Amino acid sequence: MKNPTPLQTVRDYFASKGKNPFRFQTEAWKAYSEGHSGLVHSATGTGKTLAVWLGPILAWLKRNKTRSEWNPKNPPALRVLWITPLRALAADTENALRAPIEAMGLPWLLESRTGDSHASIKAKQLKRLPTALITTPESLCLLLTHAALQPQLSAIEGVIIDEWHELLGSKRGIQVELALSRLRKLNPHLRTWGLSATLGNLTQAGEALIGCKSTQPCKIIQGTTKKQLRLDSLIPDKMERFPWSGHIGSRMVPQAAKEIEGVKSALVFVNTRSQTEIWYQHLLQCRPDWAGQIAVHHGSLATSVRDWVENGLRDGKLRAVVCTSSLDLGVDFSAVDLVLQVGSPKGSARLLQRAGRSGHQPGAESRLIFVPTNALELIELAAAKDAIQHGKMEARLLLNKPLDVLVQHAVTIAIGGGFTSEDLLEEVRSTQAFQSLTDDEWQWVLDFIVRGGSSLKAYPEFHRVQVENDRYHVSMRRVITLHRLNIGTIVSDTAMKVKYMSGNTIGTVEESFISKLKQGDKFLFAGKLVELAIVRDNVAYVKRSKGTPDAVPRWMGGRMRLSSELSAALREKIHEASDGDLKGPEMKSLKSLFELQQRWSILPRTNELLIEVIHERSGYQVFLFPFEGRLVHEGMASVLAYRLTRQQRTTISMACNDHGIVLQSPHPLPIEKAIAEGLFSTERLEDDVRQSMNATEMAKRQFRQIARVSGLIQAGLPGQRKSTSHIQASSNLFFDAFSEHDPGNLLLEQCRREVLEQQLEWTRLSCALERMQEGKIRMMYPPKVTPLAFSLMVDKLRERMSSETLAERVARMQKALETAAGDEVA
Amino acid sequence: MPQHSPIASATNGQSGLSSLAISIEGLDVQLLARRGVYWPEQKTLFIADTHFGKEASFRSQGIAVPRGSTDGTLATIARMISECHPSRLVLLGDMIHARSSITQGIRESLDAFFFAHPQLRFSLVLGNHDRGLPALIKGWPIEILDSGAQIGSVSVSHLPQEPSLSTKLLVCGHLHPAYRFTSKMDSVGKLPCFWLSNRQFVLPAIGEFTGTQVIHPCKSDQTWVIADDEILRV
Repeated sequence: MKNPTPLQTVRDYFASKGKNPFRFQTEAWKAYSEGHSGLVHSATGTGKTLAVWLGPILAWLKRNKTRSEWNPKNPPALRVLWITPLRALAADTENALRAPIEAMGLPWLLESRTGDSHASIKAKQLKRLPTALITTPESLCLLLTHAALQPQLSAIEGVIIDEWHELLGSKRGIQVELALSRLRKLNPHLRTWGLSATLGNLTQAGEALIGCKSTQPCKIIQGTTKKQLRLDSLIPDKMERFPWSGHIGSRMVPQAAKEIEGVKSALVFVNTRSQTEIWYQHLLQCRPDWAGQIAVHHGSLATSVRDWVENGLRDGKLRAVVCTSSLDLGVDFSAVDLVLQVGSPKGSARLLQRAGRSGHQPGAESRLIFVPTNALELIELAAAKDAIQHGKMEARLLLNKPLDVLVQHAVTIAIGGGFTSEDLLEEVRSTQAFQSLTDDEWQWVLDFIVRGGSSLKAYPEFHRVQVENDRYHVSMRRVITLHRLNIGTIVSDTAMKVKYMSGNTIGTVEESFISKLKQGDKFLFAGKLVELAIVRDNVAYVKRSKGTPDAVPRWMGGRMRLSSELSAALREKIHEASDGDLKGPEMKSLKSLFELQQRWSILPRTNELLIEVIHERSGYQVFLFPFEGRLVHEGMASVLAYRLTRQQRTTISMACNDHGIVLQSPHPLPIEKAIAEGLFSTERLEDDVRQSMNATEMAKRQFRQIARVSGLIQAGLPGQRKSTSHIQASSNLFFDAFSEHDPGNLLLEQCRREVLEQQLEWTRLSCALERMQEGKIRMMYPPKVTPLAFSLMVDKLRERMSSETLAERVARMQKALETAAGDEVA
Repeated sequence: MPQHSPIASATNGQSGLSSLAISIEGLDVQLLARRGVYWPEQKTLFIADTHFGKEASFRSQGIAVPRGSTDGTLATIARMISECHPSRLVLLGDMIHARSSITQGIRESLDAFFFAHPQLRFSLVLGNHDRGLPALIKGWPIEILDSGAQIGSVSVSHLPQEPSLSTKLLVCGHLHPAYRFTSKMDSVGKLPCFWLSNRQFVLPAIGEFTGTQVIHPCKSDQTWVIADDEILRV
């Protein structure tokens, strides 16, 4: 029998599906076979997977043309790594990758290795890895801790990183960059391929993927990006009754249910895990007959629960699934024909990505309906529509040399066979993130893992990594075990398993949530009402319950921020509204709200800064509306509060959202005078930013992740607590201990830098202040809290800045409480 | 409704840190902002939960914590001694953090402390972290008290427990109590506190590298918070 050519084999595979390869697919295969690395970006559901997966298969076919020699009992050694950002995606990826292998009869062994994999499979893999391995960034780093695997890892020909845009700009992404630099050291001819959704900075994304020492540029291959898209908003029936703030949007449930009714299968995206539970209950109350046809999906549910939901979606058995970003990625649900986005998507790229979850076949139309949870969100959607129309996609900001991740990586390599300083430094500098790592910083990292810190006196009896004959390695079993348990960069509160009394696990909640509950308290979880029966061995046992919930679990997770691109678009929309120019159904629906805002105050034009001052009995409130996005507002609020508290002995509490800032104080704030004296000045800005950072909890909060990644605090793994409880301390304690006894510690410096670069976003902050200084200040004294200010006023999450002593503040609070109590009596 | 008494604090001129003289169950004691309680009648200073060598235990497990918090805690205790001149120091348990805490460096720091205070009678009620301590303290003049031991009219223990009828007050530690202060306008977070509940008097932890636990006093309880260098009755 004549063997078909490799390309023919692939074409036959496509033909059997009744398709032809797309141009971008063949382009990617060719580039791979020529030894290139690259990045494929394309809308979801357009054949990205095959574009990168068939490259390695073709390469193997070329070298193994004789079919009679293929022996599935003796599969080829490891050649391809497939890295997926979500372990929940591994099973689906495995199915997608297996299809062509089976159709072509390849003798390849394809397996997954993630935190969910069975221990016996993992043990087997440590002896011999499969031909192609699907894994997560964390599991990949774990593989690097096994020195015995080095010969096999050296034989890897290609690494494929799925959903690179999700990893890029995060510490997990840096973890991947470092792991890739190691694999490249083991095999200098390694080909690295990434898959990405559309980004504003694709070239940078490609560079981060292939590292900065590559001799060839990263091939950027563009697939199908133009997809049919229909974006609509649900306009509240009774606009005048629609709330000005809030994030649940329960008023919109009946209208949303009506939309779901008209389609086969819908995904309902909400922004937090708690909201999935709430929306699910609301939908069920609205349509009791949907019991069994709708479901909840989020990251804290047990794998078995999620699998059930995903299978239901795949088979088209579920009418709707209420989910978080847990269903943003990968999984191909071709039955889904509508996506509902509840609440602001915060970015146009995310909105597009989510819309793409529907009509998930090449050529089909994606449909998304936006469900506002408050009135102002309608402006955000109008702005997002504009941005999408003009093709303005957000860029992912990249991180610059986070030393905590490097510390973790260096220990990983020390465990996995050891290293010499020179070799590993060269390797590390080949990544984009660490290309500017200085010798001093590198020396500090080595000192930190060997001696605990740069000061020999401060860290006696410290043992983590040893140095012998210039070789850094780890010999202590305890250190190895602890490190393997804690590889990763994801910070979470200690997770507690939730089980039925029968023993079935339904998911995890944060320990802090359970600790607030009493026995018998009812809470919503996995779409059911359960009550807490007993907490034993770090497991919360629950049983099904009836009645009304006492609580909905909350999970930690940053609030999402409006992208800077969308912030700019938002300013434009408000400007248009101030001219009475209302375009599109969203803006038109807000006509009466805009009129009210203009009656009590104004709508600021793009060259104006609106400030609203309100004096109530409880205190003085100053609202500022720069419309720069939460990120910039957080930094700006703390700088302004810092400057005001220097002028006057007071305590200012502040809150921010994507539109503005509120500063609140028990004493009058002389805001006009402060502006005249340079409240918005960029002079001495850096000093003031640093000072204000020290005066708030910002740095301490940021330190939490650094402490976690650099191995100071242990990950919140369920069931692991007993053995490590005596070496658990909160990151605050570490922060204080370093500040007090080793102030030069570079982890503290990194922490400050991260706050400055990420939270206070230095450049954007000073640009924003300049814009405010040059702009026209419109000081208004509205009779009531205006529509724009309302959501800021009700925000409970407040940061504080004070120039009073703790005792003064406590005394003032006691007095206020007494007055309040007196009022109640009267 | 808890009573909100006006701030009554007397500043100790020497230190800049205040103390507050109060009377509980007929006993006159001074609450010290350095997290101790001095009882003039018996010339006794009470402290709780030093967790000496906690940072050394972390280091020995490969977790980098700088040295210094044990020395810091010892310095605080020494300052209280020089301010109050007690003849007896009673530590209400959790003297050390773990067996691995007593390293050479920590041993030297404690040696120096005992050497500097030769006149002081040092008593300890063993805490849950002190398992294995008796074997480690050879050479140090530590008198070990049974849980519930009587000193004058009070008894001492590590864990809070129902005091016997014959005793006026039980002085104890273990909880690392803190009080969360919030109002509509402001919040100052957790403040370490002294907590009196049903004749059980719980001291805040004095150890530098130790955390706190928020308590929820009931109406009949009394709580005093430490706000930087001042003591305020809640």
